[in-house]
Amino acid sequence: MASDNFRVCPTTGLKVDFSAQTLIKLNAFTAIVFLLVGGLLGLAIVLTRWQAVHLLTAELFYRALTLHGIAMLVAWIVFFEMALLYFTSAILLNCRLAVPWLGWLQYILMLVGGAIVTVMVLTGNADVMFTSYVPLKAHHLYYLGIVLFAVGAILGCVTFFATLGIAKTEKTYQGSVPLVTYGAIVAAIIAILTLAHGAIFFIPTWLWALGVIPMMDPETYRLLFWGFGHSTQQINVAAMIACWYAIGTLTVGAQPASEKFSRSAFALYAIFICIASEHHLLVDPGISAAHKEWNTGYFMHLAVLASMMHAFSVPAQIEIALRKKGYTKGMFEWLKKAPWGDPAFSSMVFSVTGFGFMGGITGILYGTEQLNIIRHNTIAVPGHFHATVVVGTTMAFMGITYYVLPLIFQRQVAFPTVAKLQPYVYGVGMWIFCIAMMFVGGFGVPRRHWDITAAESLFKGELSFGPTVDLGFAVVAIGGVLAFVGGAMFVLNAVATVAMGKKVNQ
Amino acid sequence: MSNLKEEHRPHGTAMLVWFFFASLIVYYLLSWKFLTGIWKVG
Ligand code: HEM
Ligand SMILES: [Cu+2]
Repeated sequence: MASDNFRVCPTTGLKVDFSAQTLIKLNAFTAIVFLLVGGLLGLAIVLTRWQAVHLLTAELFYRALTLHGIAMLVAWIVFFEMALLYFTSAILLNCRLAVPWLGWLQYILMLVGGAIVTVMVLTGNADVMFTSYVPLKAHHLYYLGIVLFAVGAILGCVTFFATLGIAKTEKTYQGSVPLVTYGAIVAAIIAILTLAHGAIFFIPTWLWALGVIPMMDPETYRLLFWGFGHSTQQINVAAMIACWYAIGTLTVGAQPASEKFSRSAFALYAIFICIASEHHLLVDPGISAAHKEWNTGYFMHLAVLASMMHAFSVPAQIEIALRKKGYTKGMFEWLKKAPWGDPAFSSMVFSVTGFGFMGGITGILYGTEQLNIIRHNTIAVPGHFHATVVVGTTMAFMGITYYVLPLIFQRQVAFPTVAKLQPYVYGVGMWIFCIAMMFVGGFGVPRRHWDITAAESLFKGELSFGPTVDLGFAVVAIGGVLAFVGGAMFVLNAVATVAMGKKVNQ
Repeated sequence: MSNLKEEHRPHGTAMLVWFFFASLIVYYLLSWKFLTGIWKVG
């Protein structure tokens, strides 16, 4: 390939393929736009659940909740992951992007699919939550939109693997692929498996909405949905951890403490993680208790083991790097002298600790048969997964964005002081938000509920969770608003940087 | 990691990890009454 399709990065010395660069920019920017949309909706939702404000009407609440789930969990995360796939293949391996038009097709399909879904939800044609459990039925175009989006994501994975193939045959790197790329490979393997799972039930559901298939079985739907829905979370986990390692290298020059150890942990994900999906079905009558216990007990812990391995090796590699810089006094000089003002670093620390201590531990608790029976469908569940997918994945992606902006967009971050503070505002807000939701959930407060005082229902006054819950929701709202402010600081800074940030010298 | 100099080894992380496990053990000890109570149910 002609060398004029490359530029050489002045900071890293890596060759940057222009089509990879454009696709990274487009996917990352689209992701951030969806993060903005989802964040506004999140604010409206949390101000509705706080009964003292109770912002939205019932109809609008469920519409906003549906779109919040999709804009965040589907659009923001997956668009960003596409950018990561191109970054970890073409850029990190110093290689040209295989079949650029396939990458373009990925972007266009996901954009069109995402747009169709958004329009369907906004026009009131798909008030079904992002889970779209049957027999809830949306307009058939909604399911088509989802399928287009998923096909786009598969094409992204194909482009990724083809690029790895080219890098290998053209010998653009030495030895084995870097650890970060290895993590992305695991994410992409799980992604292909998962998206195939998604096709098995989303296509029939689409046909059902079209009237071609007369009936869908709700239990089968739930089983297949979570075979897909749970596993997609593991794509996020693998991608997030790849970002942890990348940020460790970018911020303090950390090298993996042990390549073999970290790689084995990633491999454990690929093998075992898809199996624990039935923790979403622990109260479902259609599956036997023995089956549920095998699925969510024994097998799951092999995947949890992998997370614990990363939880040791990520801080260890950072400590080693900082000690090599001379911070060897006592046990913790390295921790004190760490670059806390670097937003990528502080985001990563929030991500590691929030994912591990808040998201991971509560996930293991709520995922057991015995505890699930008292936590299932309470607001403690959104409390748990905002810890994993927001403090964990979202903050890791935000953190790496602070390096993608100068390296790929070639712009200096527009407001560095805002960037410095942003992870603290967002992270602290989200910690408060998550803990308060899990606390309130302990009182049996349901998730996805417009009005827990049941003011407009037949059984007036009989449903009250008491003043502790009211106070708890006030704390949820304070955390949520703080997180919204932190999210806005991120989005506006990123957009301002792309639009008018100072160009990095080439 | 074995070829690291002594002063570069991640002692701080190791200590935090031990602290984490120790806190689990303390937690189980504190809830011992509750744990044994489970077997008396039903
Ligand atoms: C400022 C940030 C955010 C706020 C204030 C917020 C707030 C909320 C609230 C109040 C709920 C509803 C709980 C319920 O009634 O069941 C919710 C649900 C949800 N959120 Fe967020 N959120 C934020 C960011 C995010 C992000 C970044 C993601 C994903 C990456 C996310 C994913 C979800 C999902 C998947 C649901 C469940 C929707 C459903 O039950 O169908 N949120 N959020
Ligand atoms: Cu799950």
